[in-house]
Amino acid sequence: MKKFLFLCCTVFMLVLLSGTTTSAQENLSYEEVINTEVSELNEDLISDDLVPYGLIKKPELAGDMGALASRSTYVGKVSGAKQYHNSGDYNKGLTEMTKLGGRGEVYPVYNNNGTLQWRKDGSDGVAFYYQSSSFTDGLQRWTINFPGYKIRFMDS
Amino acid sequence: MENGKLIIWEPLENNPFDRFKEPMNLVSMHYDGVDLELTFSAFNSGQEFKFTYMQDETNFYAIRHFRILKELTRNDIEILIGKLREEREVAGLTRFAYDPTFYKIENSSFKSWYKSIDLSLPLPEDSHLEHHLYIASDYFIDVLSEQQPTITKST
Repeated sequence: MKKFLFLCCTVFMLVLLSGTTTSAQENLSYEEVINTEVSELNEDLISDDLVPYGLIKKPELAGDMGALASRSTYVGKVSGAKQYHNSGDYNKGLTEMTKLGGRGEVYPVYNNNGTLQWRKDGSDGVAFYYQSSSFTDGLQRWTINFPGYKIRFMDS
Repeated sequence: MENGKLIIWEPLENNPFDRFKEPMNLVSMHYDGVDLELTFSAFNSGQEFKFTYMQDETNFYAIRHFRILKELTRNDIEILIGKLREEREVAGLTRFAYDPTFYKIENSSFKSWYKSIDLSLPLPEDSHLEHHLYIASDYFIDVLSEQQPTITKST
């Protein structure tokens, strides 16, 4: 409640200040001033922390998945998904995950047994980053899975 | 979650599959209510391998149950693979030459769950029910059967 009151006061003060400045420069109507300033204010104040999750516009991931695939080695296609190998390790894979779609959070999900998986929600599907154990060398072979694509990072 | 013990299963004489280097592609899966057929191919060859569980005189049930799940959901199996590798290391065995795509599971949780709901199973001492695990390129397939699959190879 205190936060809300503080926000209202701030908005009011900013509107008053900017209204004075603007009216000195141009003859804008009160409504135009209010609308302009409030929308600018929203851009500045609203962060992902304040907006309900469902209201955030999700990024499109498919384009960047295609770009990542083009930097990987094609292995084959199965059930509609093209599979690739990438020579990177876990960190490289996680970096690639964060780059997908350019914005939007990569968030961790813990399995029942405490192991970790990463996810990123896109408007065109969910990307998963998960580990697959190698029996030969003990490496984890982290994999990005997105509808139509599967890219394994063979050095992880 | 599976908590059993993985046993490497080598049903093919000249096995072309390696989970990461030569993934096993699931071509088709067919279950008509009696028999189960799984067909796999190697990515880089035209070879196909058909695993068939078929009803016969000695086995009224070709299979008892099966399930198929996406790879990314089977972290329980990834952990068991890690455990098996560590056990080999501790035992001083040499590093395995390839990443297997076929396993059997002893003390299987899947089998225990099944046995808890199907009272038609023979007594434990008469039952040969086994848990077979197929690791295809994007799917893990579990089969509970009292028989070994018949394998045919085609090019």
